Amino acid sequence: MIPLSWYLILAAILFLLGLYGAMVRKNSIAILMGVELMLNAVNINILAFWHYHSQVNGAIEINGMVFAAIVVIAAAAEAAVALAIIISVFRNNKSIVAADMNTLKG
Amino acid sequence: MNLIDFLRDPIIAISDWITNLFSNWGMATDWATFLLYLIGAAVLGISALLMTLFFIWAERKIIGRLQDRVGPNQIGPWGIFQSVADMVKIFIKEHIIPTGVDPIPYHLAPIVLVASVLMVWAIVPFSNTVYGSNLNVAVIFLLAVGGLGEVGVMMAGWGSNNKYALISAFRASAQMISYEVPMAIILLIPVLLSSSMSMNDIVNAQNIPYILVLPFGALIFFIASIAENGRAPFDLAEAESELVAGFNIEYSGLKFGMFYVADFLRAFTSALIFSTLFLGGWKGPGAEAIPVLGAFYLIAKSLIIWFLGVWIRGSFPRYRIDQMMNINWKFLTPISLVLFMLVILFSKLVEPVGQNMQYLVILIINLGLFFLSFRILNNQNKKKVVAEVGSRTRPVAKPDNLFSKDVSRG
Amino acid sequence: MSVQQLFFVVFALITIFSALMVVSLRNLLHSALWLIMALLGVASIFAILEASFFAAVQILVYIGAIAILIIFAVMLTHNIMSVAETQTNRSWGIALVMVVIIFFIIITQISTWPGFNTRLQALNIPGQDAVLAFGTGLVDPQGFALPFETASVLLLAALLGGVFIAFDQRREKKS
Repeated sequence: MIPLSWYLILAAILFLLGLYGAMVRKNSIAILMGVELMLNAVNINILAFWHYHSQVNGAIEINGMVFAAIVVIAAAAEAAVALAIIISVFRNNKSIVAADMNTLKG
Repeated sequence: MNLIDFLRDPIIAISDWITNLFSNWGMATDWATFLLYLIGAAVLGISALLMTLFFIWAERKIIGRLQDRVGPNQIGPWGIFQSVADMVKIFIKEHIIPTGVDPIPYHLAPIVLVASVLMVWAIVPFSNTVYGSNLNVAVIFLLAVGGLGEVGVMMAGWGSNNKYALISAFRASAQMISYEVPMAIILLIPVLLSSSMSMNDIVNAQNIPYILVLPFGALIFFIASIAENGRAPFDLAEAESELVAGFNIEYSGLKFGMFYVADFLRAFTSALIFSTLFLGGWKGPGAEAIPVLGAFYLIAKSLIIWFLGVWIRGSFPRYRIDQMMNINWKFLTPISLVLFMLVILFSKLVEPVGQNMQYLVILIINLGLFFLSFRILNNQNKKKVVAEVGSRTRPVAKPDNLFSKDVSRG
Repeated sequence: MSVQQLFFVVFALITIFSALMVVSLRNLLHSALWLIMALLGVASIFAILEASFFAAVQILVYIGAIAILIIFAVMLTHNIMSVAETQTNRSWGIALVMVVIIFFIIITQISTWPGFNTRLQALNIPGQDAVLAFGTGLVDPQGFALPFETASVLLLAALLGGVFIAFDQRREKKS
């Protein structure tokens, strides 16, 4: 039987790797990949706690599942819009480096 | 008695024997289960791959006969060992790696593609006792594994460092993604009728095979699965008679063989899924008492569906890419959405009356929608001006296609 | 060590290694492929957690849709950043230090919680029960009908927004 802590540590490592990627990468698609990793780590956490609560209560909890589903939906919407924005920026600027997207700077 | 019991359900008998063997060796239960699953997966995968040899031969033979040729006839009686010879040839062929390939995607792509086909076999119930896994979300798993196939195609196209391979991979994955939409919508109707997403429950709920309840849905699913497999008449990503090859153009030797195997195995696998979902799977007279009969019924039903696919492949001309996309987005997807919504609405309305009434209503909806869509397509077809190809004195070839819109005039 | 623990460790290591590759490789297409590997690892972690619905949805949505979209985007914007030039900005060192510090803060904080070392037992949910409970919870007005509908509106808005943003430029050029 796997301790809950293993899942939490795995989720923490995955989240921080995603955070590192989102912070340091220049390419905006790579930043998006980091964000996807972070969302996945959150989902591991949510489902681990779902399992824990179902086990403690002795009945199936649906709150955790709903949260995880909303995270997946949000991730799908976010990826679609973000990639559309990236393609659009690429058409205008011929660059997808996040630091170059500064035309709105005042 | 013992022999008859064994013959009634040989797979379970063998697995019981192996479990006993492991426990006699003093192995822990979970390790024994794990090893048993490993053996089972290996046996299932290898037998599926070996069956492909037969399918390749049979398909070549059938298509040969359909096109008034002999087909393979040199090696063995009726050329039955032709694919064994091909296999040996492919094994000993030189494996050429073109310069400039991206090594990881290039070498991984054939494996991913074959694996994505073989993974479907894990959820098919072969009889009421023998199945890989009674997964409770088997239907979603089915669609998810299709997504893995797309990844394999993209990896092959990108890794090959060839622009034609890349274009073909884009086309193939666009086709697979598009045709997954009507397929997924139609898949929801058996889920709705059996109120379960597990394949075993769907088979068990089919007192009447679902093809009698939703013939139109089954037809849409069949068309979508042909297109998803990328077989004729939807095989324009790797049209053998027009292009050299598709996304697999830079592959040779065993790696090309794996693409070939994945292609032929996928045809039978989708027939297997179709007969599980719509033809009642392993169900048949006496299949519950004698499980081994169920496997025979399933294979027989799948072979019929598979033969239909080969028949279509041998006799239909190929669509253009825009026609193929039009068929999906302007016809199959809307009509499957309408079908799904009507089925939900009316099956809920007549639910108190009883299941037979529900089935009858769904059947009427299916037939009505089928004739309606047929009429609409026919009317559209009549309005079109079709330019005649050829001279007046000779017999005229007239491209009349239900879905073609713009026909070049002179 | 039981089989389950072995599986967990193997899949967790695969996931972490792939995630490391995602954030560190220079070739963006390779990072996208490693991202697929990491997502598969997370899907197997979900399967170990007995959330089979989410394992399947993870493969369907993340790998079948999001990863394919990312690969498409990488290919469409391919020749912009050469592999030779560095892919990280100047502050990667401080980011690394910060990430390590945050990791230790998180671990020390959550390890004080008494449930931290609870051993997760098998739930043994029979058949469709989990999926049925989840589905009824999503459409139940007392449950999560409103968040569910909001999520569907969000998806629709994302669909329309994505199409609008991606097509805007071309329409302008034509007119």
